[in-house]
Amino acid sequence: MRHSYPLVSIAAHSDAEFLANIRPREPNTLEEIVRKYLPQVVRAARAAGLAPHEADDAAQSTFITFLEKAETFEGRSHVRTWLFGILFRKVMEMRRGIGRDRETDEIDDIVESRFNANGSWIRPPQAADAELYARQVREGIDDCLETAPPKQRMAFVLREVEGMTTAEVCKILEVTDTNFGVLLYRVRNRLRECLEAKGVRR
Amino acid sequence: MIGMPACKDVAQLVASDELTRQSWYKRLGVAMHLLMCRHCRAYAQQIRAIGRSARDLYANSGAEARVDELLEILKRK
Repeated sequence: MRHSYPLVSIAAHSDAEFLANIRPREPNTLEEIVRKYLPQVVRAARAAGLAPHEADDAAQSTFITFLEKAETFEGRSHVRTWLFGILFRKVMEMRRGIGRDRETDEIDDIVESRFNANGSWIRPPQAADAELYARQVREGIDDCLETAPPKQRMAFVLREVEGMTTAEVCKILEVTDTNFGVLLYRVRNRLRECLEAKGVRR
Repeated sequence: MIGMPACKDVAQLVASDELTRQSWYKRLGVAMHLLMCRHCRAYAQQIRAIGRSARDLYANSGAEARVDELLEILKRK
């Protein structure tokens, strides 16, 4: 399944020489990083469920932490990966208690129950026409996103809203690509089931 | 048909974004299954629509980011 959005290239900000300029706190470079990445970090923080002022605070503190740790930066990772790793940890702290990220998830059983022993649908998705479905999604997605545990929601946000590659998301979330697949599977099914339940109630 | 994945397998590959990492043979089986199975087609369309909606919903959420304010704070550190 091809992604229809452009996966953002990060090549421009991984040159070791460029990164070396951050250590002496060369102002032009820092300004470039803030101008380019602050909007993305704020957007991801909002998509992760933070209210506007919380998202601003989280984004600010992400960059402050980044600057404090810049001295220890070894250039092995990319600036954006680093920034989002810091943001992820902050979001996890702030969203603790909104559902727990655990080994097992009841969504797995719910999805399983839609198939018979041969793997065929016994309760197939309710098919609506594309426009009707898009409208239902738009109306319900915010509420449904609130039901997702923070790590699952972050996986979804980094992939769908920020358009990051699997490799980059795995570095940010500190998961294997298999784990990332599981996170996406769970959050997407959770959203689909939640939205279908809302559609049925109409 | 021999070699064609079941609906459950197709749904798993679609939802986990693991489809692109499968062998060409497996991807072919999935493509053929999708041609023939309207339920799996609907499922894949729904998964895509959900991603698009989230993208649209949050597309402009970073527009109000206070860049100059942050630069001032960072310069003082």
